[in-house]
Amino acid sequence: MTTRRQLLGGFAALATVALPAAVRAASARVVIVGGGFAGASCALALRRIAPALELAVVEPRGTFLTGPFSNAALAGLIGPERIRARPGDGLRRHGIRWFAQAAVALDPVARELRLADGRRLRAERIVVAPGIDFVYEAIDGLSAANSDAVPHAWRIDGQFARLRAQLDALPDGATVLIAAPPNPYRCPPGPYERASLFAWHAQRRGLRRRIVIADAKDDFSKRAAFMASWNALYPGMIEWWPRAQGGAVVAVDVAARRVHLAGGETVHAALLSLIPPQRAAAFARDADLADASGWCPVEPLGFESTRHPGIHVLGDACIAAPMPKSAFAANNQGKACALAIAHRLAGETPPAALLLNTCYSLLAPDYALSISGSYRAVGGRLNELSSGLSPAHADPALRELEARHAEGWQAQLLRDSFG
Amino acid sequence: MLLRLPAALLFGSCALAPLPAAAASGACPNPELSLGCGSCHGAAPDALPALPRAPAPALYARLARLRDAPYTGTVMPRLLAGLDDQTLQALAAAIACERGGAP
Repeated sequence: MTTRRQLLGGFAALATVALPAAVRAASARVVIVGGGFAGASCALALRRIAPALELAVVEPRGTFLTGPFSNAALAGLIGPERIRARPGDGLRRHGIRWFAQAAVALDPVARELRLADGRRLRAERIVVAPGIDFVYEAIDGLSAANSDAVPHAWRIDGQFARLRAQLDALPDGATVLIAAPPNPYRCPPGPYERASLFAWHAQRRGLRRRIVIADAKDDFSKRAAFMASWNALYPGMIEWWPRAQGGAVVAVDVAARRVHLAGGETVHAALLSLIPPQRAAAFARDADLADASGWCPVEPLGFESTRHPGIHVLGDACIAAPMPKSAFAANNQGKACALAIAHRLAGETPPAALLLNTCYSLLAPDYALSISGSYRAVGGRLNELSSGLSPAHADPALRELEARHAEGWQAQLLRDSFG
Repeated sequence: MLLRLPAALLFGSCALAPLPAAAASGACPNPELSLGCGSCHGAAPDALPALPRAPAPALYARLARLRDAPYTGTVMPRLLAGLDDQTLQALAAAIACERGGAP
């Protein structure tokens, strides 16, 4: 054990390191593509850390619906305004230049962006945080054009209202099928939270409902706790069909609302929510930032591309394993990247950030499960320092406490990321 | 409807205030350690309690208790479990400075 004297002795030595003046004074142009959790938090952190930087964010949407708690909003447990981000407002408030249009291309060698209006922006550092794209063609019969009829709503906007309307219109006894994608994908516990809250949606209306999760995997985040909780809250309503039992969806007849599973079974469902396999958004892939996996490799201190120096890739688009593709991870990566950029521009090696992740899943208004981990770069790799999740079996008081924590987590994550 | 526990029940009452000058000017130590705290603890209306304003040794003692206490099932012990005493001290010093507590 460490003695109190040792602790206090260690203290004085440590409490003196602050950002070098050169880091604070870094003056250069940095452009951020994408105003989601990663891009927005990176912009706000850069403004704070290195106020002299010439900083701009390229994001066509002034406001959008976000992922955390989106299943709760779909099920009517909260209103959609609770999950609305307004990055435009935050950027303006902090005096950060905002281009409210799409970035259409990036030359990663010249570090030059082309915007939708034809304008070109050059910068010493470019941060790319464009999110994900869907590999619709991985499911036979599914396409970007017909996906609206079997909505994933995994980018929330666009398909959110459609999926919610389909859910609200379900009759008594309806079957719902949720297709869960293979790893890696955005929000690993999301499909299972969705099944839970779709069950809550039926239960509070006194409707019978059968919910099938057709899975392309044989395991999932917080599985033991989810499955024990389903037994307690929604007995007999939710079925999980893993890949090993032929559960993966291989084909769909969108018009007939029928899916064909790898095991040979055909399922007809009143509501199909097909969450396709995913990869980094086309913007990043077209800029030669992705490898053969479809995702973007980065170094772990500042999430700088290992393919193109001076370009950073953040959030769901990058390969940050063992961090999951979550809003919280994206937010932490944004801040770590900002710190690293300020150091690099000053010619300093950035410190290894302590990166955190926490993801809560709501299963009912007073019932939540969490998973969390801490991460740090060690020897050129991102290392998991610790991780853990809610116990599989627990007193209802703990689930309720975690539901209250979940509300605080979601509210502050929005505030911290978008200002 | 969703109940909200008063913050004081979870963490003790903590006043919310703007960032102290030391934090705003980048003069606080080890910002790379504390950058994740504000993702949950902050000024949002429903946020988890703000980080306490306290001297670093008191914060260190609190963090060490959270890390070492018998596991209760919530997230903080899991997030701190991988941090050694020295890192936890540096983290406490960073938070104390950012929140305007004594060093």
